[in-house]
Order: sequence, then structure tokens, then C-alpha cells
Amino acid sequence: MKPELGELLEQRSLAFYPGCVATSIYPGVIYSSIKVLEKLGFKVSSPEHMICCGLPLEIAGMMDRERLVKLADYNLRNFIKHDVLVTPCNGCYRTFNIALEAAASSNASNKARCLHVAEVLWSLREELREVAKTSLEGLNVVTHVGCHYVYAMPSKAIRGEEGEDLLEDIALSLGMKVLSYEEKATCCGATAIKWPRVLEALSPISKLKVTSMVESGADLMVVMCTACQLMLDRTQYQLWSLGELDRVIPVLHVSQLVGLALGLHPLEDVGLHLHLVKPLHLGASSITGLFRENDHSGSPS
Amino acid sequence: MGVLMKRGEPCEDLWLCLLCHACEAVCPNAVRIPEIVEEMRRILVDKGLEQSDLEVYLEVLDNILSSGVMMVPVSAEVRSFSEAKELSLRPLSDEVRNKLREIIKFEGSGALEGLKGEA
Repeated sequence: MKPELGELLEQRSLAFYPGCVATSIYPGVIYSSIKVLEKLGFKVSSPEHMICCGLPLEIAGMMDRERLVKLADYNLRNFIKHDVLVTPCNGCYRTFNIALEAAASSNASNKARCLHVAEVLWSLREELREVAKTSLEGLNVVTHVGCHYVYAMPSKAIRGEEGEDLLEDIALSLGMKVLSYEEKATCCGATAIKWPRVLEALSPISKLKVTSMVESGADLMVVMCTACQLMLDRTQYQLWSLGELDRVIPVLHVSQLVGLALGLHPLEDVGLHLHLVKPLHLGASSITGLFRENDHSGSPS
Repeated sequence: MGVLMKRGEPCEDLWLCLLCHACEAVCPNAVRIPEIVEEMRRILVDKGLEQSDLEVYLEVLDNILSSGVMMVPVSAEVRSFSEAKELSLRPLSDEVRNKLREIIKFEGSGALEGLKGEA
């Protein structure tokens, strides 16, 4: 286990940094993450201000690594104010870790560590199994870990033990069936920019990814990055609207999935009604009933 | 390099990279390819060799400098949920905004200058 993860499990106190996408598009990920962590015995603080990590500006060629490090330092010292930062976004995870490594190599005094909420949940998956109030058995899931966790920080990435990746491990611990799909290692395409100009290049990779995941027959997708969540949610909705996809499935962040298992309300707490691709039956009395349709002919509602 | 950068002209291929780091992960010489792409993008942007397609990122910059995040809440339903759960953004003080401007310090150049907004 990563030393910083072991330390966190002992001290059980952290600051939760949501990132821009969760803040402005999927606040259910924020609430689910905080409530799940609290139910697992963590003391969770929130930043005084949510300040972007800077990755969008970096990929647009508008910001360099030196300024990213300065921004991260300003963010940590003035608003996050905790030695342990936990985030639900792979981009923020990668950016803060790069900044903290750069600070460490220059002997700067900031000793903060950045972990991913999926890592925390993965390390406590046995405990999740015991405290789960709602059964997710019977649901089929496909997972997408995301490039900025797997490839950008490979030495820090946690690999799967029971399954192929940490998300599969978590899903299996909750009694779900994990399906495989051909494009599992493919990028979701979220970091493509200049959308209007590169639509021809973007559409193939995102469509490839989404089609492969949907054709697996899964009831839902599970991700650990809010940027991936947005890309997969939006791409499905767009392709369905264009008639290029005849079935769509909800994309849940792992925090939302675990939140459902621990008894959080699908709409009031987890915010599934805010997604573009919503569960088939928002008013279902069971979690399985939210996602299952006999003829698998779901559509955005 | 000549394949990716034509002297004095914007380079479309440079922007097709998804910065997924998959190439870096398997490169036998451990070349940090995404960093090279990012640096080349910065060079193009600094030289003003880019076009108005980056306008959306100037909007992102303006949002970050004014509210801290790259986009405002996308719907009334999102705002309602955030308010109900006490997750709403707190307004930034002028001091914080000025500090962000100082740190991010994107001055733009060339074709982007005329599109740069104020916070």
C-alpha cells in the first residue's frame, strides 16, 4: 500500500478537493464522496474556495509547469489547508502530484500529499462490503479508470487485485458483475481541445470508447474521473441524439456507486437526475431497479 | 519536429494529441512526450500562431480568474442541488482574484490578444 494511503487510514482526516467539473456539473459526486468518507469514519474538510488546479489552461498552452506549481502551492496554503488532499478527478490528482513532486525536489516546505478518492475506497473495500446497506448484486458494470491516473502517474497507480483495476475490485466487493470490453485501455477523449476543429478526430475515439462500453451489455459505467464522466455522459447523449447509438447507460463516479450501496438517496444525495444519461427508472424502489430494463432499450430521459 | 511545426504557421496535428500519456508509459527511452507537446503548444500560443478556436479557453481563463472554477454551474438544477447541500461556491475577494491573475499571468499574444477579456 502507498505509504501516504496507510497514513491516511490511520489518521482519518482529509481535505476533499472536488475539482471544477464536479463543482459545476456533477455536485452529486461531491456530496456522495463526502458522505461516504464520513460514513467510513473520516473527518472531511472542504476548501474555503474551490480554485481550479490549472490543467485546462496547461493543455491549451496557456500555462506552464512553473505556474502550475505556484498555483497548487497557493491553493494548498490558503484554501485547502490540510496535509492530505483527496480528489475525485484524475486531472486534479495528476496536477497536484506533479506540483508536489516539483516542490519536494526543490526542497520547498509544502509537505502535502494528494490521493484519489477511488484509492481510499479501494483500500477500504472489505469494510464497504460489511457496511453496505443496499445490494448491488445483479447489476452488470463496465469500468474506466482513466489515462491521467493509469499513464500519467504510473508509479503511483494502484492496480487491480481481484479484478483488472481498482474500480473492478470495488465493484466486485459490492457484489456486482464486472464485464470486459474491447476498448478498455482506450482514452475517453476528454482532453481533446479545439472541439470544432478536431471533431473528426475526437468523434472516432470517444465514439469507439462509448460504443464498446455500451455493447458489452452492461447496465452502467463506473469511472473515477469527473472529466471522463462528463465525456462519456455527453458523448452518449450526443450520439443517441444523432441516432448513432440506440442504447445508452448511466455513467456513475465510483463515489456515487458506493454512496448508493451505503444507502444514499439516488436523487437527493447522489444527484443522478443531474446527469445527461439518467437511470431508466429514477423513481425505482430498488437500486437494481434504477438501471435495469427487461429489453435493455434505455434512452436519456 | 518539422513534421509537427511548419515555420510561421499554425499546426493542426499538435492539437490532435489527447495528452493521455499512453505513449509515455510505453516509450522505451522514457521520453516525456506529453511535456514536449505541451511546450510546443505554449510556443505556438505565445507566438500568436494560433487561431480563434482557443476562444473557449479564454472564457475558461476568465471564469477561473473571476470565480475560481473553469465554468459556472451548468443548470438551475445543479445550482439548486448545490445550494441544498451547502456546496455552492463562495465569491472570491478582489485580493484572491488579483493573486490568481499574478500567478496565472497569461498575457496572450498575436491573434489571441483581441479576444482576451477582463475578469
